[in-house]
Parts: sequence; C-alpha cells; structure tokens
Amino acid sequence: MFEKINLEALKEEEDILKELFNCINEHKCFIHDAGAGAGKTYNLVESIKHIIYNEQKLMEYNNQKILCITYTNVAASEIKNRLGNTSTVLVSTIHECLWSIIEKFNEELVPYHKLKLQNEIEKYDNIISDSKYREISQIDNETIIANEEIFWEYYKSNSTEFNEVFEKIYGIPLSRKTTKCKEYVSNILKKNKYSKVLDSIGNKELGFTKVFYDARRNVDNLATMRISHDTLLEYSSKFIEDSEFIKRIFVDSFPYIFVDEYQDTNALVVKLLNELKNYALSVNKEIVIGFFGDSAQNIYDDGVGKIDKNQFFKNSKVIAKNINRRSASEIIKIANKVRNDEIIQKSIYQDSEGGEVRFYNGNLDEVDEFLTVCKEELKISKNNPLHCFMLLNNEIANYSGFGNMYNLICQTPYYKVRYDQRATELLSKDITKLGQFPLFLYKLIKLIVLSNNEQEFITSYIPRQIYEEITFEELTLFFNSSNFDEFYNFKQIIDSLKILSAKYSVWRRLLQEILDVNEIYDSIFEDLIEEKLRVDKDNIDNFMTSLNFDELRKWYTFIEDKQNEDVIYHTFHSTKGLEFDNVVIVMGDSFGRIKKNFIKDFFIRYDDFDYDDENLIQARNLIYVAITRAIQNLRIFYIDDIRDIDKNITEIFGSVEPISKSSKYFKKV
Amino acid sequence: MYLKSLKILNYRKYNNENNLIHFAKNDYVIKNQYEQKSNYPGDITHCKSKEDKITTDEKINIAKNTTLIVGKNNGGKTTIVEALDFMVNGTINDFSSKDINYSFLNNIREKYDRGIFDETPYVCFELMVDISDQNSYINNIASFLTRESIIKGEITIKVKYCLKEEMLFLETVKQKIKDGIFNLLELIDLIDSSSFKVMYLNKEDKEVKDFKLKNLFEIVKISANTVNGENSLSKSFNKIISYRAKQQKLQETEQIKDNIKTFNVETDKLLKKDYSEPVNTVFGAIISNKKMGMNLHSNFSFDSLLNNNIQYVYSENQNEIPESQFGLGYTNLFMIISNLIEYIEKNPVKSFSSKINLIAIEEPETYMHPQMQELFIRNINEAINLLLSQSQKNIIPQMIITTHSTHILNSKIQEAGSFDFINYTHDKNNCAYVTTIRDSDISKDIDKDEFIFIKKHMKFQTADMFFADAVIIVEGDAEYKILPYYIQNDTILKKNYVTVLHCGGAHAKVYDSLLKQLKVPVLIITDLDIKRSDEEKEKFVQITDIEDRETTNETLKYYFEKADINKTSLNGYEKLSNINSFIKSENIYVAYQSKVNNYYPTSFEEAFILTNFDNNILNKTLKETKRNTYIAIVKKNKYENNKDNSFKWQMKLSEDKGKFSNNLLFNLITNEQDSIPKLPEYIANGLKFLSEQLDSGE
Repeated sequence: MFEKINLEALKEEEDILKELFNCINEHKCFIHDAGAGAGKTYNLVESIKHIIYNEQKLMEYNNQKILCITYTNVAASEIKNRLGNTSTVLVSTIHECLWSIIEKFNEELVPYHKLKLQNEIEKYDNIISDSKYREISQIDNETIIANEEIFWEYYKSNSTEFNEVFEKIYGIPLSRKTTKCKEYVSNILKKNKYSKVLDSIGNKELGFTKVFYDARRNVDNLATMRISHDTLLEYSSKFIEDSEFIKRIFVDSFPYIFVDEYQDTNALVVKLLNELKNYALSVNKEIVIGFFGDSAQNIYDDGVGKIDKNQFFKNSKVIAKNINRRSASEIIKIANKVRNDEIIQKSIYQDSEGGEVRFYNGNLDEVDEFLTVCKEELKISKNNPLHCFMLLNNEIANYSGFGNMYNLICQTPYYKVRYDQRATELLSKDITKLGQFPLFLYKLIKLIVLSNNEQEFITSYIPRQIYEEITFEELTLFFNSSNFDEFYNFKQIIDSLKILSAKYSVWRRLLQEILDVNEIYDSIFEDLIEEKLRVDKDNIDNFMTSLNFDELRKWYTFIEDKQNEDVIYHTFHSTKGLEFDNVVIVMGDSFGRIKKNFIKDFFIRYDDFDYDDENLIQARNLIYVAITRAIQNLRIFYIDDIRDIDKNITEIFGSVEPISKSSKYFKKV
Repeated sequence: MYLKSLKILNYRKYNNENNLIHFAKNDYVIKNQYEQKSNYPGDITHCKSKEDKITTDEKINIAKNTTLIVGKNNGGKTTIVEALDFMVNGTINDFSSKDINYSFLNNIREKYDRGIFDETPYVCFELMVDISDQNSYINNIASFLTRESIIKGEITIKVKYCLKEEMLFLETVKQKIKDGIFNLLELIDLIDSSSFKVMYLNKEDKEVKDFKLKNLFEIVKISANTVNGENSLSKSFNKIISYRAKQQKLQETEQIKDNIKTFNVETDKLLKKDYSEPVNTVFGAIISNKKMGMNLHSNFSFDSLLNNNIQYVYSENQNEIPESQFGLGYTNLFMIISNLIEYIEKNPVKSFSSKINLIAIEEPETYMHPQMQELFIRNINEAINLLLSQSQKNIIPQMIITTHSTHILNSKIQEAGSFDFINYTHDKNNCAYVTTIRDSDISKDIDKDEFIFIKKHMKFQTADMFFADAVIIVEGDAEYKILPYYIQNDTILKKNYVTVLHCGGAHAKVYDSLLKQLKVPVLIITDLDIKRSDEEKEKFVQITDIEDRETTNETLKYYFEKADINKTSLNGYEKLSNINSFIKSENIYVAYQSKVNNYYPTSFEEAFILTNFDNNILNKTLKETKRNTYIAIVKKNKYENNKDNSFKWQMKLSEDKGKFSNNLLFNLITNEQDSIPKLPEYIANGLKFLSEQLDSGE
C-alpha cells in the first residue's frame, strides 16, 4: 500500500505546481484550494523554493523576504523545518509578524487605543443611564470616586455590612438595593478609570505614549496600554488602512506573502492583505499574495472561511488540487461524499486501497467496550496508538484522566453559566485561547513540571528578564526548593508556594510573572480564584483541596499534546492539520449544550444541502476535518438513535453496523 | 568557569571521530591565611616581606594546570588552537571551503550523487564548559542551562558554521547533477560562492539566539613568530604598566601625571609665544583673526610617555642590553610571561570573572636551547607564583601549550608528576586523531609503584615516543645498541621516525596502557627467560623442548595473561607450553625467542649466536670478547660447536654483555664487505610487522 505512484496523478500534481509557479513568475495573486491531505504544505514549500532559487540573490541585496503566515506556532515550526536554514523567509503567525513591524511605530496605535477607550466609556455610560439605577444615580459621582478604596474593600462583604458602611457615605438608603448599588458604583469607577487613562494619554504622561502587545496575555489591559491578540489585529488593520507609509513598509519588505490555512485566518487579515495589494498596484510595485487552504476545513468561528472574490482579490487566480497524498481510497471516497462540493479527490497512489471505514451505532455506555474492541482488532499499542475524537468535553477529560478537575472548574460560578466557552478556555491546545484561570494553572504546572525535568533548558520555563539577573547560587536554591512530588492537591502546592515566595526572591519573581502582578501577598491565590472563577470565599479552600495535582499534570500533558498512551483523546478542533493511522470518532446528535442536534441536522439535510445555513456548513466542516485525519483505519461510533438519519448515513458510509456485531464482547445486546 | 573539553567536527584535519580534546582546570590561589594575619592591627611587617607571602601549600602548580597538545608535525596540533581562536576572534568571512574536512565533503558528494540530500556542508565545535564554580554569573550561559547541567556542573555549547541558504544550495546541486557537471571541485566552488553563518546550539541542537561566544571566552594566542618586532616586549610591558597605573592610582603615577600637566602648561606658554602668534598673523591676513584663531597645545600624556618615550633595557651581569639585542629565546619567554601579567593585571581585583580566559602558547621551544626548554614550565611556574604574590589577584588564565619538544613534554610530566591533560595528536589517512592521556588509564593495569616508575623513567628519551611513527622497546643492552644498525638498513623503517627505547629488567609491560593510547605500532622485544635449575645452569644444558617449562620474564607473563594463554595456577601464567611465536595485543607486538637450530635460546645473545653460528663477523666478535672461551668451544673453525654451546656462550658472556655488543656494533660498521649476520627470526618478524604497519598507514 502507498508504494506505487499513479503517473497520471503525478503529472496532474506537477501541472498544478507549474500553475502556482506561473502565478509567482507573473506576479499574480492566487488562491490555492486543496482538500485535506492534498499536500498543501508541500506546494507551499515548493513555491517558496521556487522563489528562493530564482530570486534569492536579488532579494538579499534588497533586504526583502518572503513572508509566510501560519495560523499556529506548530505549523510555523513544521514549515521552518522543511525549509532548512534560510534568511530569505520569515515564517510566523500573523500576530508576531504584525507586531515585529508595528512595534517600531507603536505610538501610532495610541489614537486607536483612545477610540477603543472612548467606546468602552460609552458602554459604561449606557449601562449607568439604565432606568433601573434611577434611585441610585442620586449618589454624587465625586463621592463615589473619592471612596473608591473603601468600596473595593467592602465589595465582597455581605449586604448588611456593606449597607451599614455605605449608607453613611453615600447618604441614601440602600436596603434591598445592595446588588444594584454595587453594579452601578463599579461601572462608574471603571468608567472613571478609563477617563483618567484618556487624560494621561492627552497629557502624554510617561507610560501612556505607546501601546504594547503582550503575546503571553489572552486579555487586554486597556488601562495599562497593554493589548492582546485580537486587539492587536483590530488596531493594526485600521492603522494599515489609514497609513500609506506602513503599507509601503510591508510591500517593500515582503514582495511575496503566503497565507497557510487561509480559511482559519481572521477576516481582518484578508482585508488588510487586500489593502496591501491595492496599494502596491497604485504605486506600480509588484506583490504576490498567495492563499493556501481549504474553505471546507474552516472550523473556527473567527475564521474567514471563503474569500469573497467579489470584495477581495478580484483578479486572483483560483487553483484547485484534487489529489490526495494522505489517505486510503476508502477514506477519500467517504470524505468526498461528506464534502459534497466541486472538490472530488483521488489518491496519488495506484495501490491506495486497503483502508477501512466502519460506522457503528450504540450508546454512550458502550464507548468503553467499543474502544477495547478497536484496540484489539487494530493491534493498538503505544507505538501504534488509537486516536479517539470526541464531541463531549467532559468525556475527553474523563478518558484523559482529568475528569474531576474539569468538572470542578466547570462547576465554578464563572464557568457554570459559560458552557459555550468551556471547551476553548479549558481544553484548547492553543495556549492563546485558554481562559484566564486555566492559563494561570497552565503556566504554574508548566513551571513545576519542566523545572523538575533535568534535561529541560531553563530558558523554556524561566522568563528572560529573570534568568538574565539570576545568579548561579539562586538558581541552585530554586532547584533545591522546587520539589512538589509529595503533594497531591492544589492547596498543598499553593501553601508551599506561599512559603517559597516569602523565602526566595526567585520564586517571588517567577510567581509575579505567572500571575502578571507586581507584588505577591499572602492571599493572592485565593483572591485570584474568587475573582476569575467567582468561587465563594468560604468554598475556596475546599475548591483547592479538591483539585488533584496528578489530574492537573495530566491536563497539562493533554494541553501540551505530549500524552504517551495507547489511546489518545482529542477534541475535534484540536486535530486540525494532523494525521493518524487509526482514528475513532465518537459522536452523537448534538455538539455540547448549545448546538442541539448540530450533527443530526447535518445528516437529515445532507441531500438538500442548504449552503447558506451557517450551522450546517459548520457541522459539515467539523465532520470533514475529523474523518480526513485518518490514513488507514476510520471507525465512527454514533451514540444516539439513528432511525431518522440512517438513510443518509448509509448513503455516505455504506452501512451501519449495530455495536453487537463488532465483537464477542457485545453478546448482551 | 573553565573550558573542559572541545570536540572538533569536520574542521580541517578533523573528521567525526577521535576529535575530543580535554583541558586542564585553571586554579585559584587561596590566600586566606595571609589575609587573616594581616587583619591584626599593626602587623604591617608581615605583609611587606615578600618571603612570607606565599607558603608552600598556597603555591600553584602550573604544570598540573597546563594543557599540553603534543604530536608529530602535521598531526593537527595547531588546528586545535586555530579552531579556538577562529571561534572566538574570527569572523564568518574568514570561513571557506578549505576549513571543511575533505573526507566529509567527499562523503557528502557521494550522498548527493546517490540522490540523498539530507545534509549540507558544515563545521561544528562542541565546547563543554565547567560551571561548578558557584560564584560565576550565569547571564552569559543561561540559554544552555538545564537542571541536569547544574547538578553535573557543566554545559555544552555547540558552535556551528553552516550555510545561510541551505535550500538554495541543494537546489543548485540538484541542477548541476541534472546537467551532469557535478563533482568534488564543483561542490567546493559552490561552497566558496555560498554564504555561511554561525549558529550557537544547545545540547539538544536547538538554536540559541542572542548569544556570542566572545562574551564568554577570551583567547590570546602567543606564537614564536609574533616576537619578531623589535619592541614587541616594550609594547606588552607598557600595557601592563598602564593597567596598573589606571587601577591602583599609585602615588608615583600621580606624581608623574602632575609632572606631565605642569610640562604641558609650560610648553603651551612657549608655543604661544614662538609658534601660535606667527601662525595667527598669517592666518589673519586671510580671515579676520578676531573671529578665528589658532592655538597650539602640548598634548603629552601618560600613555604617550609610556608608549614612545620609555626604554626597556635588560640588565644581565650588570650590563645593560637594549631589547633589540636580547636573545630571541629570552624574549620569547618574557613575551609569554608578560602576556600572563597582562591578563592578571587587566582583570578586576578578586573578580570571579564571567568569562573564560585562555592563553594558547604555540611551540614555545622555538629559539630556546634544550636546557631552557627543560626548565620552561618551571620558569613560568615561578613567574606566576611571584606575580600572584605581589598582587591581590588570585586567578590565572587557562594555559594551553602546543609543542613538539620532548623536553617541554618531559618537564610538564616531571613538574606535574602526572600525565593528565596531555592531548596526543597524530595523523591517519590524512585525518587528525587526538587522544587525551590520563593517569587513570595508564595505571589501570599496573600497581602504584610501577606507575611511579613510569613517571620517573620518563625522561627526554622516553618522552620521544609521543613524537615517533613507531616505537621499539628493548629490554637488553645489546638489542638497544645493535637494532638501530638494522633499522637503518630497512628500506621502509629508515624513512620513518622509529624510536628505540631501552627499558631494562623486563619492565616494558608497565608502558602497555600508555603505548596503546598512542596507537602507533609498537614492537616489544623481550626474552624467553626459561627457568632452569642450578644444575642445568652449571652444566650449560641447552633446552630443546619447552613443554612444562616456565618463564621468569615479567613482561611475558603479563602478555600471556592478557591473551589468556597458559594459565597454570589461579594467579600464574608462567607456563611456556602451547605458546605462539609472538603475541599481539592491539597495536603492540611482543617478540621473544623461538626455536633456532634445535634449541630454545633464552636471550638475545644466545639467539644471535644460534642464528649466525658460522658467520664471520659474529665469530670475530666472540673471539675478541672472550678469547679463551672461543678457543675452547670453536677450536679450529668448528663453527658448529657454537650451536651446541649456545647456553654456555650465554653464561660466559653474561659478565661481558657490554663488551660483546660494542664489539659487534664496531665489527658490523667496519666490515661491510663481509656477509652481515642475520637478526634472529623473532626480531626480524617483529621488524617486518612494524614496516607492514607503517607501509599500510601511508
């Protein structure tokens, strides 16, 4: 299998490459659409090679580079690896690349920052002018501002205590209005904070003349002029739109810009690149912008999906590739059916047959047994692992060994109401998408795990500004004190950290860095849990004791994608761009609580596909991405009743096997 | 911190094996005792007297802390120092195809021809740095630290010189192969037209950015040809004096500076009157001198005083000799010492530097006579101890000496009492090989006394083995005298440098481990030394059968044990039954007598007589040496009798061995028309082994 190349298919592949090279030679923008496993990255690398071979000397002379924008750091390092040493290509994520250039002009971002602050203030204004605050709005603003400190001090105390203090200060009766009062006052205070920042910007005070992007943060801190990923994109696209010279810098520096997995990239990026292309056109400069991707693999809400050619890149050439280099023909056949569009793939191999696709139906209780059977039948071991994709987050957490930890955090008041954010904020392998408390946990466990690994370089877990000033002796002290082996819950870790940070300046500084604060005080961890997870003061100790250290470590390995098991569990989203020999997909009608019948609807309406229905497209893309990860063996286990959809499922997958058939283990059914 | 080892990969003569060089640690002087004493108020006398400053246990033994790189010419000695110098002080523009090992390039070319493109040309140096000294700063090396490195106290830094554009290079190669014009020369051309860059990698080959080796290392190279300039010494002495002046603010220096200031002011006045005014008059004729003018200022400074106006004069026997007339040998020695002084002076007082300092001295023996070479290490040692005693400094640089002087090698071994940190280089198939000699390796198979013996026995002549192509060790005086004659007559051996060492009393075995590390072919010529009863000795009984016989020769017993033959008892290997005609142990060939004309000779002399019983030169020699015995045995030209009396000859000659060998050598040289006696078969075979080895090594 996969040994004999089909020469006709190879010729087709070479012709596609030639088409890409022609676009490059003629300085034409292009969109390269290639389905899953088509060797899209190969074409991207070959295109870069083509430019280097022909243009490297000239580009070096002009100090120009090929810019290759990837969606994740993982993809960036994969491409860098394939390219070898070169200083002609800059491979980076869009954020890194934008910041590397815009950083030098970061004072230019201040106007956009001002605008954002003004918008925020407007929002607060809207809130406080709500009629429900009519009575409370009698309180004098100056009094509120003057008593800010006392307010925050009593903010968390109960209403009796709060009212006792503030009725005197604010001079109005507060009984039964405590919550409203707290809301109103805190909004006034927040508004006041931003107004002050605006003043400081206006006065050009120290620290308020520039905007900074902090790659390690997932949320903005507008008051300290620090922004995170999304806001960087927002500001830069406006900046580039407004400013000729920054466009010129981009166009002059990067005569070739390639976007990998364009469907995932933010719509703002496409808009921004379109601006660059138009600018180049207007000044008669040449620029090639090439998009590599597949709109059917767009599974992120913020991804652009398709490039609307009526609006952007009107004259670009679309080059499609229908060759598959990854999977057995049995899998390609199913994938083509799921896609159900103009891309119909065929394998590049003559001997691509020999894969297996099977669709089973059963219920959630049978997943365990089903996996046992799969393991046996597919001869699964750590060297030949089974990759199991699941739609249910708590199941992934359970099977990966951190179910209690996942549930515990989901049950906190903060996440209890945000079930749509749990998957991303708790299970995303892209660190930039983790929630604030999970990110803190991640950084802390990372420090503990890595500092106990003797082979790990300190630069991977000690931030630069700390290791640059540390002495050998301090480092030795740090290592001698960094031993958490005997601990089994989070509370013990926190207690130990409290002692360590009081004793050693290295620990203090590391924790400041992890928590992103200037000072470590005794109850900082409790306050963090209270603030970020809204856990009640009285429950914090209990919460920390219930967080199992071993589960936290397993969660960390899951996030890092470093599990060394025979069965490895994934969310559908996290498998993007990967490929595995053996894939098991466990799915049912719904995707989480919000997307009821998300999958079922897709199967019901598979025939009369309505392309305008966002949900259907999303479901199709998600299933398409999942099944196309498989190289050889693909098994799908549907855990809900399929009576309504079995016609279309049979249409796509051929047949549905009852679980009992799959082996001797299911005699009881 | 200090440099522990260096691995050279694909650089010049070095390929990918036997390329690890070890360096000795530089030591600190512990001055605690003295400092404590001076804490007593009023105890100034103590500090002022030089003699009291260093007690014996505070002295540094430079010999122990010096790394030696020894070996024949073209063995890769200089390459090691050049590699270090290039890494630290060189620029990427100095790098070219000639720096890349040719066997490596050839391998790459073959791979490309076979369609494998997994590698591009590169050179890599792997430095292992000891960081166990807790006082050093880690800011320079943070990117290389792991928890393990803190425990082990060492880090690895890889310095890799590789292509800037790998893919462009490979694509060009592919194109050349397609066009059918690819060969080694094309590859070299392509390398020279490509740009290279330097990358620093950690142990796991991950690139470390923002690091520069220059921030961590400082290397000074002192070689004999830098001593050419007439005032090179003055220059380096001047540097030292300015460091001192700047740092210590001596009263005298301040006085000199005051004098200079006064001088400048006075001169200015004179200049103004006699020079500035006339100039300004001329100037004013062109431009109004109210707006512009010219002033002349005296610009004499302390530095210019030192650099141009102070003369160094050596005094020897109360005669003052100008620098230019001073012997090159001494100048060389002083240059080396002045560089050491410069190092010690320029580093801040008592600092534990965040840098590693290396001083590489190349072939200091140049211009030195043998006695001076022999004392070289001791002189340096004395100088350093004196220097440290006079300053507050307590740190010295790491010293590396490359040499092909047996005297310097010997003096290092004698002064240090150790073989440690001698890096021995040699050349094989045009690639350099390096082995670091270690006491622990040499002494692993021998007892303490024998190790002491090696060190004491190692003198000028024995140290010669480090520079030889082949080594012959003999245990008897006769072989020692006679063999060089036969070597001179061997077509292959005479082209090589074969050293013959005399190691009496069957002690050759103690050199076993050392010789194995040197890897050159070795021939040990020893004796069968068959154990005989007193009766057999009295009756001069000849041995015709060695079944059940034993040897008394320690070297033989040692090699029998190595080869595990003839074990008699639990601990003994003296039995001679079932032995081969020689023993081979790695690069060592042990030769001993075998049956000649029916008899087993027990010594060189007996074998020689049995082999050449009817040879004129031998008979002449025997007659001259022991006239009476000769007449008694040979009677009238009955040479056959020599055969049957070989053991008697052996016993009779034993008091006159020296006389016999001297006479034999004399007769060999003066009677060239006669047929030359043959070497006994066991020695002839041994020499054949050597010449075969040397021939194949070419």
